Amino acid sequence: MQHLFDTTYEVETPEAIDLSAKIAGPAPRALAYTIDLSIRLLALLLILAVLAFLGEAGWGVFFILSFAMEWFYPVLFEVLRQGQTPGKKMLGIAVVNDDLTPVTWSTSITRNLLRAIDILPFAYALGIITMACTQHFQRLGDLAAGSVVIYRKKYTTVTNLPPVKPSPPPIPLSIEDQLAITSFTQRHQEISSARQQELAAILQPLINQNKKDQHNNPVIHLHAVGNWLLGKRE
Amino acid sequence: MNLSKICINARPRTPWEAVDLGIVLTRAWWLPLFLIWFIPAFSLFILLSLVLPNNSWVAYLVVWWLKPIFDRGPLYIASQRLFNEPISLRAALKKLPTLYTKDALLWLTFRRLSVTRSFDMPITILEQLRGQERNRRQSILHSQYKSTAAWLSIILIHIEMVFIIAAASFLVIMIPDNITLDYWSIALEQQQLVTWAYNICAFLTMSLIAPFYAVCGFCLYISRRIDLEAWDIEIRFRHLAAAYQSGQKNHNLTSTLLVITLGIFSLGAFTLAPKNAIAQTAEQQAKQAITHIMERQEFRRIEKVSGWRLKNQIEEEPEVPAWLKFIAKKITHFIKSGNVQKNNGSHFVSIIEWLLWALVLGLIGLIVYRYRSTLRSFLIQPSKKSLSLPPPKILFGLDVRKESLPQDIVMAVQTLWQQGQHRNAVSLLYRSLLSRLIHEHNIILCDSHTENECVRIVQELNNHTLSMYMQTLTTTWQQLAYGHQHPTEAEVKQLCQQWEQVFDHA
Repeated sequence: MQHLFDTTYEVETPEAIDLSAKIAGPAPRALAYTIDLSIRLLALLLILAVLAFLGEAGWGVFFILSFAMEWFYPVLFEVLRQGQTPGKKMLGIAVVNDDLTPVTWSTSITRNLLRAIDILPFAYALGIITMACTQHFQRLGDLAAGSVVIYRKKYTTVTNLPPVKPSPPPIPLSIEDQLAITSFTQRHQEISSARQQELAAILQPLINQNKKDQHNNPVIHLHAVGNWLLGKRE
Repeated sequence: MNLSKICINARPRTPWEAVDLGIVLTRAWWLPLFLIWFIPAFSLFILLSLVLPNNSWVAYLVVWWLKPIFDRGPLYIASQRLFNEPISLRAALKKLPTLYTKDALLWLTFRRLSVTRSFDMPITILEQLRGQERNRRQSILHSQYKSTAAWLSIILIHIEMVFIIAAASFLVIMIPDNITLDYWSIALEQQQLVTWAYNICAFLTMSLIAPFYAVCGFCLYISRRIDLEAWDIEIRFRHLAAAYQSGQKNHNLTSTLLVITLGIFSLGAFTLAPKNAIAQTAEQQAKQAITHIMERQEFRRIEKVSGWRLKNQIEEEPEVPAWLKFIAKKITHFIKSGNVQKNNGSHFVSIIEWLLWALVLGLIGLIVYRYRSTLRSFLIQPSKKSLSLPPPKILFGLDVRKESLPQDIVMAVQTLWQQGQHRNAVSLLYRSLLSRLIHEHNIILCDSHTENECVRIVQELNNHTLSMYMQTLTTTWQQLAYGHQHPTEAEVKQLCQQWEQVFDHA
């Protein structure tokens, strides 16, 4: 089997369970960071507007707060909100440990303290370069802490299935083949009907072998099998 | 386009995942992608710079403006490599003139500032659509993907600018502190030089980013087509159909093959049989040979490691630790200064200071409280008494409380046996044994122990008669309870007699 390029990140647990996730690259992460930065700046601006009335003491409090915001905003959000700062949440990405367990305090603190290096020499240039060059899109902080940024899976409800009476598959199918047929059924509204005919024609020899319940249209037959595989029986 | 040769994992992706895939691909094919952009663009840049040495910004601006044309090189190579068609750089460079002229005017005027440029380019270059047809195609592709394609452009423009500034700041950072330079006067005096440096730096940054931009846009386009045309499904269906057809062909062959193989194996069984004796000596010889080989030099590794290591230093402990002195000094100093300020009447600052200290102390208190159980286990050795659990009431479903047993156990067992309740009799005897072990011999048994673990615990006591008795009774009980094999009356009698020897005489 040849190597296929992808952005999948795979981990095997000691219990021999394969976990996999999709790694998020520099582009969505840069965008997420920009959103976080804007939120922070806005909050600091509001705080400054209030504290300006306190004179010099107000400035002191402001600097303490801005220090805390800079260093603990990402840490607190990442650890307490399942690895997602507001910006990451908007992009649907999250920080996890590199064994895909939820991010811990030490990991989050390490990766965020090392922003001090990644930010060099200007606006995270080093971070962007390391992210683009490392295999799992990690900046230096991620490498030191052992964390990766992945996409959170969005769970969508099953799309409306084609109204076809389900029928069992003509031959035993492997898991991948079952997935392909169910996917063919679920995406019936997105794929154009001409293309569906074309795809179904590939499986013509399989479908025709069972003479008893022969459909004229292979697309409908595949939809029927797909419905069956998805658990419909009536 | 042969989908079976595609070198990416064809699966439905989100638009951002497609962009990430673009980065993976650019990284994998970096050199040809970079060179096919760099060679023509750099030639033009140098040419224009030499022609107009005083207006070097023109060279940069022209190259920048021609980016939609130069981006076609990396796009073409990526589209070939995607289907595993190796194309040499020389061949790709030869192909460039035809690529560069396709719809060039439109891309340099109306579409030059389009933010979805790299996403739309494949429609022109690879699908070769024009006019109305292209617009229709583009609007189909754009849904869901348009915003990501636009963000891709915006992000990469910013990264380009960041890199240019970063290069300048890197130089500034690297200049030692003891050399003081007035950067503004340098910039003003050496205007020519600075412009040159800026243009070259900007051009290099542009050529580093351009392949990423072209290929990320291409991946967005491919991902959209995977969605629309279900490439993943096609690949799987073709695989299934091929497997099915080869299975059909082999079906008839298999049965004849099976007969032949069976024949060969049965023949082999006869001829192999007498060879066993020879095989044994051969095995010994082989073992000797293996040990002989394993003793050779290649299988031994000796490493010499040298390096600097700390010597074992003996630490002298000061009577009062330095940090404690430091804190004490700070606190006294702080109280003094606080008093002074109070006298001066500026309470506010000292209040804030006090508040901050209170916050620190509060935090320490909170941490101590949070980890109080951990800390306690460090400080106080737990007494043995608190560790011991109350004796179990039920072991493997048997009630082993003292109160549940009759006064004269042997008597009770014998009565039960004579009444024909064999199971109950042996059970009672076994129960009482466990109960005695727990309550009189003070053996710690938990309800998680199995019968055989109990036997092993008793063996560790080194009481021979007791452990022998435990062993026999446990076996008898297990055979009865799980195997339904009843002991003979003589065996039970003997067990009862031994009971008296083991417990009552002791």
